[in-house]
Amino acid sequence: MEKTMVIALLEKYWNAETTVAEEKALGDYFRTKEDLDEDLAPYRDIFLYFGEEARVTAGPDLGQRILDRVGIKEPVRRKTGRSFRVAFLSAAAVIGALAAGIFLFAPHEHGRQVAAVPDRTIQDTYDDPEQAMAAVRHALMVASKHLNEGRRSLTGDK
Amino acid sequence: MKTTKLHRYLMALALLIVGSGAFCQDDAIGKFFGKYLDDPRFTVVSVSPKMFRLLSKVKWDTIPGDLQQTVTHLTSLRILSTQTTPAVFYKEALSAIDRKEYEDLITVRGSKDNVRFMIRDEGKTVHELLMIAVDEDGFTMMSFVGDIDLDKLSRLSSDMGIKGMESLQGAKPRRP
Repeated sequence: MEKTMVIALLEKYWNAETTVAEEKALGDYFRTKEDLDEDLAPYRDIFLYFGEEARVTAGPDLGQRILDRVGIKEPVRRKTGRSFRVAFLSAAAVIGALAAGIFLFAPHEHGRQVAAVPDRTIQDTYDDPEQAMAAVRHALMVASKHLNEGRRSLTGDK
Repeated sequence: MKTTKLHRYLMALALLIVGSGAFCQDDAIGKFFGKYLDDPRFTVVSVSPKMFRLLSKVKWDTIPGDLQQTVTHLTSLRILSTQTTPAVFYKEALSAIDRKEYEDLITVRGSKDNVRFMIRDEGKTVHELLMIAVDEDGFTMMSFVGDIDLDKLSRLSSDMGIKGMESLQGAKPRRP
């Protein structure tokens, strides 16, 4: 690569206008060029440094190295017990409130659909299903008889 | 701060439970029944939804099909009757009924008796049939709740040998 080309690329580089390929070309140039001109020499170190740093990886022992550096031997778990418990209880309370809401409002809706008769206030007159059945049967018969009388009078067939 | 939030949730839950009591309101008919439930002048018959579920244990073989089906679709029955001043209670019962909820079905006016049928319905389903009757013997109020088939109900007494029902089974209820 010509020196004028390198200077032009450097100019672009400092303006942050170079492409990845152009930066690679610059890096290659400074790494391979042996007899660098005086004015270009200071840039060599910069591009060599970037090249070396790019090859540095974290490695599997990075965590341990950081711990060694800050002087801690064993990783310490942050205690999250209390805040977790509060969050859990809050969530449980919300779910509980929702469940209670659904449970409490659903019967009301149901009661509306099946005519709002206060079923809970009905106390059984009979304990024996057979007696209750007889009473229901009798009541149905009376109602049926009156209903038929009514229908007969409606159609004028008395 | 977080515990305050938790308390707020618990408070809301408590309010929900307390507030639910406000929804357990009685209807006019329930109030009327409740008013005379313990009155010695009245005879009261109540069959609760729980008992209606138990009725399935009764021997069904002796019971006609239409009656079986009608009974299985009922959820409660309440009857209130008295021989004391029937006309007074008849009027009181009529005035206690919320006309927005109950619709007139059939009214039979005889020289000695009056029978009124009212229904509470939703679409084609009759949820409650209310019968209020008065004659010289007394006053009777009956409330059937469930899923009521009026045609089946009128067939019940025709099964018992009452003649002339066949042409009436298609009769439609009067709509106001």
